[in-house]
Amino acid sequence: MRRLVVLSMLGVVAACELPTTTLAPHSPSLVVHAVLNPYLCRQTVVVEELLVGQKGWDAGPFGGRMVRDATVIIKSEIGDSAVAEQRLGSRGDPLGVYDIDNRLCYASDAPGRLAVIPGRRYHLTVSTPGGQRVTGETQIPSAAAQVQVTGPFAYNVERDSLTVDAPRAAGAARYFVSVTPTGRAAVTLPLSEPRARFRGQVEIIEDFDRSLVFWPALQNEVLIIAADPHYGEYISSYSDPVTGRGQVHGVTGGFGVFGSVAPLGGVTVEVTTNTDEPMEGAWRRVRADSSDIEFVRLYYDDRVPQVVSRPFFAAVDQRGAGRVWVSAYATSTLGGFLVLPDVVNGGVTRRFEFELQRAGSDTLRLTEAGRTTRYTRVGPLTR
Amino acid sequence: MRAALLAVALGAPLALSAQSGTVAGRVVRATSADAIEFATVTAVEHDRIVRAGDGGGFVFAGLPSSRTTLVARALGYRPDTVRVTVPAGDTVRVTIALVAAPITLAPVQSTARLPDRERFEESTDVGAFTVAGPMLATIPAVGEADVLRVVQMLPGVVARNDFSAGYNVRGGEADQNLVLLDGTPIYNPFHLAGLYSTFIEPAVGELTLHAGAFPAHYGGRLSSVLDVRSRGETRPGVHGTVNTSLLATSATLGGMALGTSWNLSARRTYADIVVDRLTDRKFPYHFRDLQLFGTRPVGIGDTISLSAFNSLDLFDPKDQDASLWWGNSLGNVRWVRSFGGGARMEHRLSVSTFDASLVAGVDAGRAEFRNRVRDLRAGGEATWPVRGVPLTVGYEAAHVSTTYFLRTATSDEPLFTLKQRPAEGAIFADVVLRPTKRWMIRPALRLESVPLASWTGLSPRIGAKYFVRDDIALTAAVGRHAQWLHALRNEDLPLRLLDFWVGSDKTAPVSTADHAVIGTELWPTATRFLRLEAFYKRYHNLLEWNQAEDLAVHGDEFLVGEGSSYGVDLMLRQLEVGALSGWVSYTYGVSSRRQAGRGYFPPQDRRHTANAVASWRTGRWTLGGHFGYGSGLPYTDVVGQFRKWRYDPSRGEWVPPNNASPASGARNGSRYPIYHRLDLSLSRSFGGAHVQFMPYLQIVNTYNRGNVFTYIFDYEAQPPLRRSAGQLPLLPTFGFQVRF
Repeated sequence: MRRLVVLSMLGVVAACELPTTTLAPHSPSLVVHAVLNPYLCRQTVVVEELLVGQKGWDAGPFGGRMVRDATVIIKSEIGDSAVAEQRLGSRGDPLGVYDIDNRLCYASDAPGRLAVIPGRRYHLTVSTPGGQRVTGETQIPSAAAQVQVTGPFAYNVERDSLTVDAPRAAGAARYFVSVTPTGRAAVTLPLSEPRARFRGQVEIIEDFDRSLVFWPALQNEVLIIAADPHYGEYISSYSDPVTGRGQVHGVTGGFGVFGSVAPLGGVTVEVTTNTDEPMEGAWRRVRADSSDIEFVRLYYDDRVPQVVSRPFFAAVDQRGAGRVWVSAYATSTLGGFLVLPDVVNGGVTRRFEFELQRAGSDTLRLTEAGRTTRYTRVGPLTR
Repeated sequence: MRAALLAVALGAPLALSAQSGTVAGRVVRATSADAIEFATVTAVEHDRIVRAGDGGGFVFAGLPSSRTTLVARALGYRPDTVRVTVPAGDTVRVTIALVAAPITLAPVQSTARLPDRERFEESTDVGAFTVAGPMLATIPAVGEADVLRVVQMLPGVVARNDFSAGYNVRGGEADQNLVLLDGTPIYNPFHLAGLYSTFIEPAVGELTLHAGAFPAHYGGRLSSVLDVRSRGETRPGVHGTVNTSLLATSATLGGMALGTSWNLSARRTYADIVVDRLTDRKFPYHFRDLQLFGTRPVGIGDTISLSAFNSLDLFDPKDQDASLWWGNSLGNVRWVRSFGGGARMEHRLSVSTFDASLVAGVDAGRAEFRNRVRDLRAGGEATWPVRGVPLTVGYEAAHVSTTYFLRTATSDEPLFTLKQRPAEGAIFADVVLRPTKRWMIRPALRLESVPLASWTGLSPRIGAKYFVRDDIALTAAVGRHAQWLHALRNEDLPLRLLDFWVGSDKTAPVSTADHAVIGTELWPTATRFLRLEAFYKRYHNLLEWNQAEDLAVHGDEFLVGEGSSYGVDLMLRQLEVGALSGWVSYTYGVSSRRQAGRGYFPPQDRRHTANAVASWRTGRWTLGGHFGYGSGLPYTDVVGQFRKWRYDPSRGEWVPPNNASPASGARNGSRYPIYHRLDLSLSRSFGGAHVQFMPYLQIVNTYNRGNVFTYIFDYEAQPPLRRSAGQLPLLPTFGFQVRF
């Protein structure tokens, strides 16, 4: 509904545009993103400038206008504190991302380590050489000392349902479920209680591409997470483009959030799907010297074609690179293109043609730059 | 009085003989079919005169069976003559419709008792403004004449922009306006994202806006009451209006049949049909309205009225797995009994519903949103003179059920669900005291209870008027008003797509507002008046939608605040009885709010508003015009853009987004440029007494003023840019109307 309102307004806006004004430059505020998570060994704080029309964005991995050489201190309510260490890039250049190690992961104490404990209150201070200062405070939701993650269980996205329960946490303002397919970023969805109930596949409705939540042929970790009020409100609110208002920020003196989360429990599932199309399945390279891709898993997304512009996607096992997901463009289930994004090959997008000679064939041809590699079917689309 | 009535009722049959019969009838206004009280009706041939009761009813019993001429007269109306045949041993029913007009009695000119004049002389109401239905058509509009667009031009009313038919009254929020059709609330009287209202212009008899300190029989809203009355057709036979504009086609039929006045109106947009027939594309949206009104005298002094209304907006792109529709439905029955001598009673029974549905996606991506409001309501009042002083007591009982849920395929359970069954009971009493000829005082009490919110409140109201002369009066009114249904909407958004209504409960308190108004009203002629009113409003427990609400939790939907508004309204009005009519109004207003310790100006805080509305008829030509001026409305400045990183709780990593979001500055701390716009309309009628053809031309924003609707900021650009999105440009439209 929010999206509909915004779209209607943008439609109106587009219809009656008046002249554009150039705005005078002004000094940018700080934007800080920091969440404490007691079940992880590294706590990360991101510091950057508010975008106010500055010239030149970072060429580094994060883009934007990262703030380097800031002093980031997190202090607990019992008085212990740690100064975060700035992360360095591959050439030793500072990135504007700051890390604090969770003392609980280590046998001994050391500078830069802080015990991140459920139920405890923490205070954040970020100050820059230019004199800007942002502060924040959070109390981590209380949760059990050990997070129970059971499984793996098989989960067929065209047939099964899944319920994940976790106990409530004191101090939790909101609950979320996080689904993390191996090798991919997590998807976080809001819950009304610490219980997630899925029936088959799920799409992200806020996402214009309607991305899938569960990825077949991969192991997916499903976690129930409690969030403190700052982080809960930060990710639940948004700025609508018409009024500019709506986003709730959880820091003082700038923008962004300092909050906390506590995973409460979860499961891992081996996601599978039915074989609906001839090309779906797991394929193994026939000759070891023909390509660096040893395994290919192809899945046909059978949602409405008008909605899904990329009906195929595939899992590729690449020699030495682990498993990644790729997009595939195709108009036929018997042939098309696979495109491997640059994550596989250091910034070079790789494009393959694939061909399945006939329905039910056990031979798949994958052609890259005129070089064809044959694959043979080794099974249905399971992990 | 009861004895007299009984005597008439029992005596009438005894007086009947084979050669005599009865004439029972009603005297009504030609424009609205509302009763004209205390009219006199003469049976000319028999030299008998009766006085109609305050429901307009009259009876001649025992008239000789023959052709009889009835002449009805009322102060401020042209007399009308009707011929009837009195049936032997039976009753004939008749309705006499009088047309309002000033009456010239040499050498003294008497004053026409048009609604505003009647209110001036006999009521302590403040901030009330009545517009007759025929005036609506002469005011320039975009595509269609629109009731709510006219309301936007009244004193004390702020229209946020050209794209919304919503309005704010004397600094109040848009959901604080009660919109009634024949006494029954309509929850979302808008089409097309608020661009048009749901009222069909030819079906409207008249509308009255109460801008503050409204009478005790109105409840449930803090800021205003818009009382829209259906038009009743009083001419015998069948008459109608067919109107085709660039937006829609509407048809209205009405007439008198078997003593019943009826009116049926329908409207539908046709762009979807035209696009479908003439091109290979689809335009899967239309809206439609249907309105029915009927009124019939029953027995002696009784009148039964029936209203029904239905509206629907439908967006249904069948190949896109999405559909959106919303609509209102309404039905009410009203029974009025007049006992004569100023005694009357009225009972109403109504149902009003609103439904909205949005379904998008299929299978795993399916999302479903629904909102439903069912309002069952009974109300009534009785007025009885006690030692010459009219005392009114009344009641209202409402039971509202609201359902609001959002479900996605994420879970079997709805992401958000809220079902409420709020109810309200209210009783009220008021009395109009005239201690001297110059003083009129109307104390009133309204006692309301909302069990779901465990709230009971007493709302005292008092109005007073002092007549300095017969044509000058000083007015004052104070009153408390309460609101227990609230719209879950972002007031800062300049468009009003839909309101989602939620009742007060233990987490959303009942809002109240105290009004104080003082003013003066001067009538230099019988058809022209000048009114000056100063107002002050103090709001308590004002509710605003919490944009950071947790959909999973009920109780955090609203933020609670306080606020105040004050200002001055000035209006000069020429009533719609001559060639020239219209008004000029100016409002100075200041409105502020406070929430969580922070003060801000609400988006409707316009300091200066001026409107000039005129309609001039000369021969067969009618020229209409509207000029509107408004100082800048507040908006929240965007001071930059931030990247909202996404946190991966499994790995503890932050992932940068692909785009940046607005970072807002002080809430409503900046103001848009001033607004002004001139609209003109021209129409000419052709044809004779039975059928009239009327083409019309309307020009909106005649000098193409670039009024700002909103700003869009781009801080990723170097240097940063601000795009201005405009309101309506110069826009000529035309249409054609047939009346018969």
